Amino acid sequence: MEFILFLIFSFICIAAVLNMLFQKESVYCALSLVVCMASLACLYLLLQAPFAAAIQIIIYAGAVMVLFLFVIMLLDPRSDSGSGRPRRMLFLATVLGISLFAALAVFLSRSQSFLNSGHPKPAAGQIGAVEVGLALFHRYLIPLEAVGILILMATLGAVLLAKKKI
Amino acid sequence: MTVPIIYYLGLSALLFALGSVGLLLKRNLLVQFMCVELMLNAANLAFVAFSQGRADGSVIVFIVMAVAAAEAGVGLALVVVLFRNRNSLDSEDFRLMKG
Repeated sequence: MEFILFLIFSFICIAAVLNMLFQKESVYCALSLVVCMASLACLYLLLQAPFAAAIQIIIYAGAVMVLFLFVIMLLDPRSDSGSGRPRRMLFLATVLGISLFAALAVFLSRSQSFLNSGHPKPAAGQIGAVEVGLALFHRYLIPLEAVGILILMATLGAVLLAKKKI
Repeated sequence: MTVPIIYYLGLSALLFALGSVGLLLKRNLLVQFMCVELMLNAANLAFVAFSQGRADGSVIVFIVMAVAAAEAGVGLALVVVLFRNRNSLDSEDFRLMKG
């Protein structure tokens, strides 16, 4: 059952990404990316991480993609000139993508044996907000503060950039 | 029947490769930016898959998402400024550095 769900959601995810790659309109690209992120959230639920699934939906599919859609609607949606890259570039990009996937696959298949050998498999349980909150405010307190400062700086930078006169 | 971790890792690698191909092939700046977000999502999937039953994966996903949100804010502001100055979103039009 779990395997069938994994197949369904990964198929939806890959189909949405392929649709994004072949789509000309940028609004449709954004909407298919939302579909991809929603199916990734379902995969997080399958991996027993409901907190990650929730923030995937709220932050990514909600906030970030709404920001993208706002910018697309604010600017000219027709500015995508339809004509893609030259054929040589297309070939090169495809070769590079396939070789990148092959390299990652080799590396990850090696890490799989590392996972099986060294560490005993921990008791599987749902990783909800309680566990994440405890880890976030004990072990990962300094990264949390650093990320807070980073977001403050990003907000200031975005406001400064969006002003009429730089 | 549980799914082996390697399947999730394979899906993550595939998404990362597709994101990089899209980054190279697309000409619209906004769509290229979306491809970067897709690559971040692929890395997040790998993090969650590696840390089954532990909280660390979700914490790192949280931090990566915060960084991605900051990046999206600044990047989209930059795109708006670029569009205001050049009246175009085509990445081929930004070639000032090319001799």
